[in-house]
Amino acid sequence: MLAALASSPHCYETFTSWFHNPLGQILLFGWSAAFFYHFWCGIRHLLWDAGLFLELKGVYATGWFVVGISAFSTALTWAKILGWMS
Amino acid sequence: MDVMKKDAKSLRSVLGRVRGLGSAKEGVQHWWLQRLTALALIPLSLYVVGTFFNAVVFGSGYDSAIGWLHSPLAATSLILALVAGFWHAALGVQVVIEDYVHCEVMKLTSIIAVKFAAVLFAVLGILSVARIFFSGLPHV
Repeated sequence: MLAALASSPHCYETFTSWFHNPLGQILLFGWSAAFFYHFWCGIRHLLWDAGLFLELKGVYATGWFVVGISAFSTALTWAKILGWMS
Repeated sequence: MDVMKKDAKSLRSVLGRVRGLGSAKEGVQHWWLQRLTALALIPLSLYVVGTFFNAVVFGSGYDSAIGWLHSPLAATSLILALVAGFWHAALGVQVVIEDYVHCEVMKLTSIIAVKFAAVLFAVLGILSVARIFFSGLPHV
């Protein structure tokens, strides 16, 4: 992406045209969901490293919390995007 | 624990004897760097993903993206995110390879390939950011 931007306007437009068709946007949606899931799971791991939520109850609770907040973050992102686009 | 017992006849220190004996052949550095880069990436990744969606995917085109990278905050954050991100990714993929690739040749080859690729893309990204940041107006 950065290389395309540094190369030429034409190169950059070719790159961004990927995000303006349905296939590109489906991939982008999947990528954003994966990003948020990885992001929140990573924070869960850092909390474990700090010695928090290590008992079984905490493991289950943070597990479901990560699933929920990942879905919420992804939904919020795409609500904003769709709001901008219309 | 035998190795921890101080043998009166041996001149080797306890540390010297245990070094290199574990399955990992190294200390805690890999684990620690994975955490450190993760911590750095909490704000950096949110910033980069946010601006990526904002200025690149649904932005108003080439000029707005170039203008975005001319701000010192954006350029600094992006370079830091590239370093921390590719480092974090290389460390993470290395763990996956170590856990699931059992052929020693394949394991070593793929870990080296992943590290080279990470450095390659990080340098490419940093050079691109620098080129845009230090260039003057768009369309030069």
